[in-house]
Amino acid sequence: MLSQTWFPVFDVAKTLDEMDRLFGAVRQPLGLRSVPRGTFPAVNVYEQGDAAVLTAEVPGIDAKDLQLTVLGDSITLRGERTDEAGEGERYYRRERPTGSFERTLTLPAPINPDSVEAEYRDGILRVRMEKAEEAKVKKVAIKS
Amino acid sequence: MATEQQLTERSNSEMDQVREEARYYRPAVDVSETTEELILRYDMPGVHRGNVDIVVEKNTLGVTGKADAEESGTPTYRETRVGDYRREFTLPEDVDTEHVEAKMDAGVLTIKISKRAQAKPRRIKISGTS
Repeated sequence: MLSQTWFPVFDVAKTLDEMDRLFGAVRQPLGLRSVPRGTFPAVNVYEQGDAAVLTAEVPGIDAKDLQLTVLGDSITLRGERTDEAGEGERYYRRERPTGSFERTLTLPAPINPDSVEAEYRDGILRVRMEKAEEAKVKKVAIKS
Repeated sequence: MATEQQLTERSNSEMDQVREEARYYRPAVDVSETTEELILRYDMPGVHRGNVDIVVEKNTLGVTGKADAEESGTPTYRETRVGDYRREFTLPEDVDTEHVEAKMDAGVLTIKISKRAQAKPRRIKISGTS
């Protein structure tokens, strides 16, 4: 019986490995864009006046597999990225992280949980949050 | 005179190219295969399908992805920079570069290349008397 995993003469792994040209090997490329274990997904936090925006790079998931919770000035992102390989699919190179992840970030100010808006587009989760009232800058009237 | 100018211009644009090339990120790629095809999956978050360029030339597969603009505001915590992606692979001879299929969803580009007929496993019938 022909084994399911018998592949003929060529050795894809060796060929691709040998010939994966480091783009611009002579001039420094920025590097392999994959975040080290423990820091997936890569996250940025931006302050925009009275709001804060968090962006997380988490390509290839279903938005419903993401869980977002906020408390005070911290936000927690939980989710899972599953391996897409099908039956009879054999890997020669694996660089993309998979598995479940959980990250908690501290925001620049406490936020109002009712103001949180999240959107997942092109593999980036973008979360916009308004600062809590007491954290907003207020103009003070000066009596004279 | 004209040739001198031409030469200078070419090398200027080469310099620009060098600078440009140095700014690309290499996306993380998974490569796998089945009996029918070679599959490459690229992680390119922040890249819309319309901003991906795939070029197959002889036996080289080149992919470039332009990322969407970065979020505005003051970054207070940053783990990544926004940048364009680029990566090239030399393909094995056993694939049929005439049959390439590409799909992009949620920042993941999936490229499937069929294997040449001779490269697929074939059952061999054994003849004889017994």
